Amino acid sequence: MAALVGAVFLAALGFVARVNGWWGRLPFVDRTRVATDGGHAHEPGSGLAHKPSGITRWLTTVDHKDIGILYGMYGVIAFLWGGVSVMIMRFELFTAAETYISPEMYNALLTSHGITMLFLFGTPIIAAFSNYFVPLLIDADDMAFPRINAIAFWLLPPAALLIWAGFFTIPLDIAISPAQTSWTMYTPLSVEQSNPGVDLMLLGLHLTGVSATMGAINFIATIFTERGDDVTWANLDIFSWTILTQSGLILFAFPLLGSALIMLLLDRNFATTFFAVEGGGPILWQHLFWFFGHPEVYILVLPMMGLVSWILPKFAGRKLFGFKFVVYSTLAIGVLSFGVWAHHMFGSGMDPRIRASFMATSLAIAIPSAVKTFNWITTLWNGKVRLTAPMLFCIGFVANFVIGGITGVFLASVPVNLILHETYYVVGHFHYIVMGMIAFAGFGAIYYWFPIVTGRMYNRKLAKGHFWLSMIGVNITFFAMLLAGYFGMPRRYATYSDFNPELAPLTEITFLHQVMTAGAVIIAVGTILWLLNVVWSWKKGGKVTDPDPWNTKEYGLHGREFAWFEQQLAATDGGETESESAVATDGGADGESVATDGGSEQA
Amino acid sequence: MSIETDDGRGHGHDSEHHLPAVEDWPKGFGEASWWPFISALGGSGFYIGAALYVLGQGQSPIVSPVAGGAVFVLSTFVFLTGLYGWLYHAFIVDFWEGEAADFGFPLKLTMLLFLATEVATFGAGFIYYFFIRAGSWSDLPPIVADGEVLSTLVIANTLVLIASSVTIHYAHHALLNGDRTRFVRLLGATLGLGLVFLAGQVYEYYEFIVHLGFSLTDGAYGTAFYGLTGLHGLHVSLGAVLLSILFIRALYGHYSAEKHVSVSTVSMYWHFVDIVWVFLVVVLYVGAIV
Amino acid sequence: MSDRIFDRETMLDLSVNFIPLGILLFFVLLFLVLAPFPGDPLIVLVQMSLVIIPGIALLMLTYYSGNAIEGSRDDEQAEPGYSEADAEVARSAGEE
Repeated sequence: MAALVGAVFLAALGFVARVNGWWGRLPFVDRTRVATDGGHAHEPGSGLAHKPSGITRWLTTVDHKDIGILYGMYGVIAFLWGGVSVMIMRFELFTAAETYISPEMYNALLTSHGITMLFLFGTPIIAAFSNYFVPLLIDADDMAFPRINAIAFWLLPPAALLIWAGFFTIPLDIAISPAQTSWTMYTPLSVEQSNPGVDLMLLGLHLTGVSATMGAINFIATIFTERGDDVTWANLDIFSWTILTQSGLILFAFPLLGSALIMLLLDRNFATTFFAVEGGGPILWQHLFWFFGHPEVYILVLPMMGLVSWILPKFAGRKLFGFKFVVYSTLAIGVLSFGVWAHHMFGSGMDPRIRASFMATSLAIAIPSAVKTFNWITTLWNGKVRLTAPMLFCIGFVANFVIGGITGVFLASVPVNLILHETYYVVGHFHYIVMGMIAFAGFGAIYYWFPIVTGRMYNRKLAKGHFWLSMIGVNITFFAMLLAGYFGMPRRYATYSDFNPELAPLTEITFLHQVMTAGAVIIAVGTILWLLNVVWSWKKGGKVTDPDPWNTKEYGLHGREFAWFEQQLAATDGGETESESAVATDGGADGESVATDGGSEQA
Repeated sequence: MSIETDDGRGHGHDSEHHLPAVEDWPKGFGEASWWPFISALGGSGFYIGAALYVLGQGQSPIVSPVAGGAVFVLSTFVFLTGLYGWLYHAFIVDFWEGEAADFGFPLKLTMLLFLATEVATFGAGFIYYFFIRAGSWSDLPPIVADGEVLSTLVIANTLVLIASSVTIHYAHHALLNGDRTRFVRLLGATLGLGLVFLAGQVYEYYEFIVHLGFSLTDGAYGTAFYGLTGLHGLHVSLGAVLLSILFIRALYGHYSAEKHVSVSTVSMYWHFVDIVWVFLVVVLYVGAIV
Repeated sequence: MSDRIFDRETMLDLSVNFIPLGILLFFVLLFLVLAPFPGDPLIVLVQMSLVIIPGIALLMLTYYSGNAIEGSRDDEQAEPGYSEADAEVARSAGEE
């Protein structure tokens, strides 16, 4: 019977694969793009196809570049849902009382926003960049395991469906509602909520963990074994270093979370005692969760630091200052990140001596991060700074990290932490990191590599508008959060109308919430500009014929990925580089660059 | 689980491009394969099945109670089909064609990385056990109070598993020395010992649950005991599957002193599972009654 | 880790990780000297391990990565991530 159903399913897939019309109209399967990004397109008449056409290509692809694009699309969709959910929350918080949504819905959105942004946007968007560019940067033909790479991606869409299931079932009016556990899923709350939406979310999260772990193993194997002959440990690029470190963190963090999630599921469904008072107790969940959760912060931020370390020098006209400092401090962060987890739970009644230890390690880990900041600033020092959109986002990244990072150092200190940890101060701090850094670096990298991936150029004016709106919006929103934290506004509250005025001044807090909402609207407008820009430029943007669109050759900063891009462009002219040739771009303008550069690099 | 194996061919700049198995489905494309998608579909199906199972429980189940199981079984078929297609095309169809030395290091490294993730997976369970062992170690089930948990069955089973580690080690040695008969025999012995161990575990569960009334929900220790031994049992079962694949392929004449990467990786996995078991016996069985 | 293992320049590169190590060492000494809470041996052991183990791990990783990086250093090779052809351009520009 099962085989029969499987056969029917496969037949259906085959049918879908033939219906290509609608698919070809989407911007990211633009024929021209297919050709210029990787030169894998089936050029009419060339005889051998490397990939099938239409949707089959995307479902069957084992090419790291295609999978990178898939990860990117996935991350963007998740980012949009995360953004929409937070905008609903921000409008609700515009007034102190309950206005538009119920507190239950607020909790559900809060949970979904956190989980979506960290697990469905953060990790996948990094995987998008690393899939596409790490093999190019280390001169590999592909990932070490292209098929595991594809499997890891295809586990993610079902995971998202499970995580968001509670929202999808709202119109069905059945007894599944969105989880209201917050992203930390603290027990006993998460055990006692009888809503099966929580179970679905936990299962989905476990699936994302499996996916991330497979990806991490693949990246470590790739960077260890697939490097080109002239890529050694000494001249491995900084982005690959950060991906290597990040993968090392995933290797231990995500499986541990996976086990903890299974334990939580068992507690919920099979009456086990893992996190029950008579068993490990709620504190065990906190320890396990944050042993994953703190490295997760670095899993998200290290590759983004790598991206900035890679992109920022290109527009500063100088090599990265103190390259090895950045490498060693990245590794230091990787190791130390497993020793600081309990600073998320200083208020949980741990022994003060043990808290003191975590304070020590948390203060120590601030150093490697600060080292990087100084490296970036000194790279800019005396540089020929060109304020392109990617550069603006890199500088914004550094600026936001100064605020986000320093506010974090205070939280490492136990006495300060006890006062501020349950307030908006923490929310402001980590949003400076996740939005002000992680998303900024992501935007910068998207702009920087847009010519390679799409073969076209984005609209520069829109991109700069996007930057300034984001920068201003981020600093309004999250600085107001820091202030609200000082005023004593607690985290996670859906309403704040009946505060004790002795403890929290309602007038100021209401004003700050309105400021935050206004700032969030500015960010949203910027993000819409970005989305329009990317979609429109992918389809209609000016074609890139210059293999060095950022003029990095002039400064001796031409990266391998653009050398590869040049080969792809050159192949359109001569076609001698790779048989998997690309279709011609307009004009033969790239011919001269082939002549001058010789194309001696290997793709 | 399937992580130790892939066709990661493609390194080396002499080859023009990266061509996965050319016999793949769909056929004739360099960089396309349905197998990863199907494997992922089956893999996710386990989670969908589990979700449906959860929805099918309780007073007023939202879906039919059999839906979860049905999807789970169906997913198993899809998953195995995907894995089979992938591994068959990647490794088996032209086993003797590929260069032996090429993928040895990546695949062994990958197995090592996978085992590192397993340390974390088991780690969470052991941390729970240490928490209860060092914390409120009370309300113990009778089998712990009487010391019955450490039975001769467990000790015998432990010896069986250790013996299987020895046999796979010498099987590998025999292969490296070119003694195929001895290799196949010892591999078969390893598989047999693994199955005996699993049978012993099942018998122990049966004894505990049915005769001694000690089950998963029997307090903090019951959770730790069944959680950890269950997780380990799953790993031994997977190891037995891997050993069966090795054994069948060995019977079909695969592997030689030059081409033995899967034997190495499975052997690494099996030793790891063995070490975890010894640790588990020391802390969970012996540690509970001392 | 003495100068015999790494040359001067490498030690300078590695010095970036000595600062967090110094902080960890500072706190270990501080906890040894100043212990305002009664000394429960188990707790003190955990307290010290939580600082010392990350320190040792950091020291080991720094050592091995330093070895790997310096061991493969070659003055002729391209800059990290930059293409070989470009490195030649940069070198010739540097010689001028």
